[in-house]
Amino acid sequence: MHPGVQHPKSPDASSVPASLKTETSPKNASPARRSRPPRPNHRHIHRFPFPVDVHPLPPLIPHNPLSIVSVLLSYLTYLIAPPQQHVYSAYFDSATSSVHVTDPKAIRALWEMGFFGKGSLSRSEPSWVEREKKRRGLLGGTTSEEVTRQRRTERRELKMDRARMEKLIIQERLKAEAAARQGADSTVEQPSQSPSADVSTEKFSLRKAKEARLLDVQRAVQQDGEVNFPDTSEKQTLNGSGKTVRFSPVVQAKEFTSDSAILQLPEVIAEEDKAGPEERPTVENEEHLHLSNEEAFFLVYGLGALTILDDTRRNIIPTSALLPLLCHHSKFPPRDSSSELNPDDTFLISYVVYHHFRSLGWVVRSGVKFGVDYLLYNRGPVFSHAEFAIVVIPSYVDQYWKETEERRTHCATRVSRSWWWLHCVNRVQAQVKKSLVVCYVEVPPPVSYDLDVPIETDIGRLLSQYQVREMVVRRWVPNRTRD
Amino acid sequence: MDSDPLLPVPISYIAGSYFLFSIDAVTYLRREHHICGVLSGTLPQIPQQNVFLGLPLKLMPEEARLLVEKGVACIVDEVKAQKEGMRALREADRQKYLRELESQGAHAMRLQTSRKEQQREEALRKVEAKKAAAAAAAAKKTTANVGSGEEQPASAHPDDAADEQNNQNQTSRRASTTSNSTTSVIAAPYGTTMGITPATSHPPLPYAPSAAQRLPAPAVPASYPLFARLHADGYYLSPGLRFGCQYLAYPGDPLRFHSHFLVVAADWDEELDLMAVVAGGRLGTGVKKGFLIGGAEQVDDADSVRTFSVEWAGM
Repeated sequence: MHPGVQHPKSPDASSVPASLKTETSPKNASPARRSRPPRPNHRHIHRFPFPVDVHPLPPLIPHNPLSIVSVLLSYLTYLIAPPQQHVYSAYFDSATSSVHVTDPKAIRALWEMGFFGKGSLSRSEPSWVEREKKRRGLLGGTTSEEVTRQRRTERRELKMDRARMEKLIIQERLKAEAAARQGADSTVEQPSQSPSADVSTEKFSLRKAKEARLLDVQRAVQQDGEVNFPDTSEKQTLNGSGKTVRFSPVVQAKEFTSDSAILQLPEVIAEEDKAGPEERPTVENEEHLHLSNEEAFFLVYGLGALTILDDTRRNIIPTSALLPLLCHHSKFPPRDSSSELNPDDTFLISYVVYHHFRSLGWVVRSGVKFGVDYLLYNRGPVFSHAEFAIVVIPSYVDQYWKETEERRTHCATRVSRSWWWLHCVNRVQAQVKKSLVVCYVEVPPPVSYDLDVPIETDIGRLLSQYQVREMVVRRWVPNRTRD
Repeated sequence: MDSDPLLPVPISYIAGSYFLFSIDAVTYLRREHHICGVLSGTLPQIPQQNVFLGLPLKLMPEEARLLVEKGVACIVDEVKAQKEGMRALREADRQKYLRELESQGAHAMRLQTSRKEQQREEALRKVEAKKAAAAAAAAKKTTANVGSGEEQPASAHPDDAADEQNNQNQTSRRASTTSNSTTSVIAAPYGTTMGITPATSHPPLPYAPSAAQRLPAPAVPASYPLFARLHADGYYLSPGLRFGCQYLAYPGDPLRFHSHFLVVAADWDEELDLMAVVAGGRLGTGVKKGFLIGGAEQVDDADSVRTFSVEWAGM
């Protein structure tokens, strides 16, 4: 329904760059296909689900004594010299309440193993450097943002084409009607013979616009080939170097209508090539990885693969202090650090859900773009679209929350959602073909007062008190669901 | 073509909802006051019907309130009005009403039978014409065959002609019998009349309710100032639950236009979930509408309503 919604790094999307679809003549297509860079092997790049080093023992074969020896040997090796778990580092910025990773290696590792974080200058994958290099003509290939932009310009042009065709049809019909009105007394059968009749009966769709466009381009190319045959070789070299196609009036018109920066690029490349390729400037990576607070805490507490530095970038924040810190920053402006931990803190509740789905093996990413809390990907955003959209709602079933009037009103405000909201969210998910899952998190009563140790020190016990209930919501239309 | 109803139009308040039962009132309010409401009546045999609904028209509390504030309508406690009206009804009035119903039924019956008669005569005329044409063609053919003098398997044709003549006679006979029967039907049936089910109850009951039966202006949700403002700006508003919003704002009659805005009301100081704005903006842009959020800046001041529309730039 919405092509723009498709994740740009899905295999089918990256396999066909949008620009190639418009090129039809064989002499155009073959050099472009040759220049297309190989698709990255996502299966290999993202083969580890988490940034954790795993050292499996060699297989044990009972009837082969040598295998037992090798198992023992490797076990002893790990026992005597335990392999170092690689720990990445990030810092917490209290002004923006966010966690950032700046080390390029850590950024790549966290993205490739588990799809953590988001590039601060990119939409999802930290690809700013590649885009910047591409923009300056230092690199081939396309990034997801460019594919999207190209698709958008193409769609806009198709829409303009469609509007033009519709206007044409209306004009023809008006003309035919005027003619019919004039010659109404003389000829009756004229309207049935008018050319507008068959044009107007077929519905004009985007696909037809595309086909018409292809035909136009083909015709233009053929005409051009017939007219000035001698300079075909020159044309081919032009195409081969990936420069703008100047001979076709259609493509030129396309360039004028679209105002995006990519289409003007080839000239920049050409200038740089003339200036000399040896003095190309190196692009410094100015992008960092922005981890959501839930992701950061999961990496620190759940996996132990990350340490988080404080504002001074020198001291490591211990895990027991990190949880209250993130809880205090779950609201804006952040509460002061002395206030005690609420069991229904927004961060705690959303972390519970995050941890829940991560431990079930899903790749959990933010769902802001669809107006939900999380999106669940089966293996990762590069492999497939998200299957589920998660909405988190706290649930207060414990008797503690019903004791006083104040608590009851507090719970009611936290839980309440309007019908409009539900219908709106549900309809958005239906548009993008995701199943809406409402996650109820049962909030335990605050227990810190009857414990000797403060609750922050035993995070496991704190989290184990929460329960998550999932419920799939789907719009059910009786008329359309009838067998 | 239809007569304007007497003002104020009575709006029936039944079981917490506001209904209009008179088709005159419905068309008048839609035409003059941009109030569309939702048709909610089903056929008696098909209670699960959910398309092509009919009277009564159900109004939102906001719509009822707006009409009351304009002085176009008043709210009637329908249960009370019915009970009191029936108790106050005199025997003579009752008889008169029943007679009137009967005469209406007879009139409807007469209309229906005359229409049926017309249709039947037309059909018969068509059949006769067809037969006559066929007979003429057959006669022509036989004369032509005889004139050419060829040796024909002549046994077939005369038989056919005879058959046809027989048929013609039969049909004419049948037609005459049917016409006889219809005349007898027309002559006989004035005793049987059609049952009339009036949509409104004010021929026997008084049209204007007494002061005791009137109700105060309906209670409205907090979104009423926004509703009134958009309505005053010329928008037609309809409930918008299927688009996940409170109202759909149409620039003209909903039968002629697509809606332009998905309207959600908010208090001026209300905390909004940003996610809801994202979802609403996305949905609105996806269905080519604007997501409009608005509310009154000062409470109880309809003039201070401000609205903001949200649109996704990149879709």
